[in-house]
Amino acid sequence: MTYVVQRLIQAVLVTFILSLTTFGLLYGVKDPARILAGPDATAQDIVRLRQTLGLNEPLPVQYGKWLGRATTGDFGRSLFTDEPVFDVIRPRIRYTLQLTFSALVLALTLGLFLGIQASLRRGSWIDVVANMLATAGQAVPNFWLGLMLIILFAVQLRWLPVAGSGGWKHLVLPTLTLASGLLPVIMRLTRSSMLDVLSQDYVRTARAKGVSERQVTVKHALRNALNPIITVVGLQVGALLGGAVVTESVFAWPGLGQLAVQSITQGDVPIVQGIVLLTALSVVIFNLMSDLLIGLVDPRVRYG
Amino acid sequence: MKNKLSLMLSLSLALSATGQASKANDTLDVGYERVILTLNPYATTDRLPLVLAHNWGDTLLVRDPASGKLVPHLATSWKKVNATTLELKLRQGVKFHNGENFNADSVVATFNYAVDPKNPNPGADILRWIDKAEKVNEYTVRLISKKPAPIALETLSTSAIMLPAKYLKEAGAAGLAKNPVGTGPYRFVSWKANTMTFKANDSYFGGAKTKPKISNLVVHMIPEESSRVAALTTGELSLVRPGGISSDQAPLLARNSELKIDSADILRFWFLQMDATGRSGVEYFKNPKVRQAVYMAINRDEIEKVLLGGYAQTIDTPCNPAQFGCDAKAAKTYKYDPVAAKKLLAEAGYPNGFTVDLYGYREQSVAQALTGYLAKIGIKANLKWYGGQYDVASQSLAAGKVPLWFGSWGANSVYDASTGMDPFFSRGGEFVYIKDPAVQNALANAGITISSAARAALFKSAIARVTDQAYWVPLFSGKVIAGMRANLNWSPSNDEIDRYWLASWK
Repeated sequence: MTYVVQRLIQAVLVTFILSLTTFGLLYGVKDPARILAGPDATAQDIVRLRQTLGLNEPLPVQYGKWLGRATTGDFGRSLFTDEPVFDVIRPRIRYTLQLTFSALVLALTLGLFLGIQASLRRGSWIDVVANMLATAGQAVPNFWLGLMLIILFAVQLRWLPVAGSGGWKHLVLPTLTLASGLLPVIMRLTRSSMLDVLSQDYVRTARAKGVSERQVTVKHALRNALNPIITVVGLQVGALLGGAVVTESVFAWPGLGQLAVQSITQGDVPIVQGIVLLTALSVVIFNLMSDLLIGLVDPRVRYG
Repeated sequence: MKNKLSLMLSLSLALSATGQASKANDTLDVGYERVILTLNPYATTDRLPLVLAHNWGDTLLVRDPASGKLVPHLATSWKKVNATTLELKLRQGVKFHNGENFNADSVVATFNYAVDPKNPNPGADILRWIDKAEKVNEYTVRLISKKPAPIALETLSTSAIMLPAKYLKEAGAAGLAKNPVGTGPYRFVSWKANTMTFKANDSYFGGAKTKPKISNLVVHMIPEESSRVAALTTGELSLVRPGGISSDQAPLLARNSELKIDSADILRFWFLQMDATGRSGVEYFKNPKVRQAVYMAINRDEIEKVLLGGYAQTIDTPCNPAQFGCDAKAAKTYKYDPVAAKKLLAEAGYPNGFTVDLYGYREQSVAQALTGYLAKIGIKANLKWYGGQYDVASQSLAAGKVPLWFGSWGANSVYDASTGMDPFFSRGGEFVYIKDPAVQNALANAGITISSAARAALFKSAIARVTDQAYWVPLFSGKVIAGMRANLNWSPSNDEIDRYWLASWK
């Protein structure tokens, strides 16, 4: 129980610090009134806007007000459309979830499968191919891979659309692109941690008892090898969301990442704050979940 | 093995039905280079919502793209009642897409909403000459200004999209942002994620525009240029709007027989501004000889032909010659001559040159070339580069920190020299680094003079003075490039307003 409480307190603290730094950074770098007023605006326009938007108040006061409202789910209004921030963000969440979830599923299934196969057949062709894929996947930048996939599958073969959203076909290339970063991590980790476990005494004992090779792999080896994999997947969700920013831009996928880029360029501070807080929160939640999951899988952590 | 093969085959068959045929379903698929967040043209200075507003909405008068003249549209006639009152007769029998009648109430409601200081409407700044709008009768309105406003009619044609009074009251600005209602050739249907759909307005009144020839208009927002170009190649897009194709991609598209490119001269122009008053603390440019030396050091021909590949036009004026009053003949020019420039610099007391900061934010290759030209006469220019970040760079400009400004100006798409010169040469204003009473007086008078001939003369004297003093090095005016499928008939316009209703299939 103390383990769970400890993790929860940590999570809350991290969230608070994140919200504070985001708030400070955005206000420090840019003047939202000037950005909103646009390139051809006069000094009077900007003064008028600053008043309308309440930007003349001291920063701590602005932060306090904002945090107070944020805890009740009110993130303020977009500087551009005057819509509530959450209304702007909400339709985007589905798309980013769709993309990150499918990339995560693809990376997990393929990564686990290849990792296990590579560890069981060390030095075989499948091990070599998996390793090559992993190296390539990690070395190639997201946006470049995305463009190459577009050229091959959309422009040359005409199998899949270039960009946008709609049916499942629109999801294929972005998913491949986004998964390409995470897959090698999972694959390599599975392989090394399986190799580690497979050489343990209890695996030899299991085999000596006459347990089938399949049972040994799944029940004895994989379950013990899973621990570091869960931790890393929890940590990689942040990287996945970060990668989604680039991937969404290349494929014009209407998710949170694209909205973030757009809002940052336009200086729509409330939207950026909403997205950052939401993303940070989801990373914190995922880390918390993976911590708790490890506790569930591995009793040593729970009572340690 | 056989199983695997048939699986592959069926998979590729299932996938192969992707290529869209835009002509077949009579849909103009347009690629936009930015994601826009609002369709309300008054709520932002972003151009794209205004471009769409001219397609779903209408203005009182319209600038005819061919003749350049202002012609009747939602207003059938207009007259000046006195120096500050404009009276317009409105077209009868026009309906908004939601069924509301277009009448004097619509005009009054539109302007009351747009220029009300309580509404943060940066897109309506250019209309703020209007003090109030008054209904005379059902189809007559008066626009009353505090001061005479010579560019009133021009701004009505560029920026004043008419809105339905009742809908505006019920739905408000938020409704307008997501679900605009107008009288235009296309009516808004839906906005899902990065795609906006419009349908031809079959009962369009016409006026100075026409009924659309293509029945569906779909806007796809694709920020990445390579993806946009790829989508045009596959036929997912029928058009990438002007500005969505860069000059280095243009030759690539021109080589593809299924595609074509077209370009248009636009109002935006580029220049090098020198701090002639020492506002930034740098005193070198107070000396006219130094300014003239800088002018002569820069090879403007080379910039146009080599760096910008011909997608630009060298200008000699501190405004765009396409604007009213921007008379190129009034401008004095200085020939490119680095040797003479170096001599002038020595005469001014700087035989070994000096070091200075040069600020820039777009057209990086030109910015770098400028530092090269200046280096040749001994001026070491440190490039302070703000790639694409006008909002940040212009803060320094407004704060008075910029001795050398490689700037550009879009002039609000208004064809009048005042919108080109006022921000930099008039009295007051945060961008002003040049305080020349002769120029300031001429511009101030042009701002309140109605007679065209008198205004032209005033602008002429201002241009002559600015160029004689070499306050600026005028560089070039720009072009925008559009890419489209070869079977589409369409051309970009100089005012950067896309007229999709004129598009047709071959």
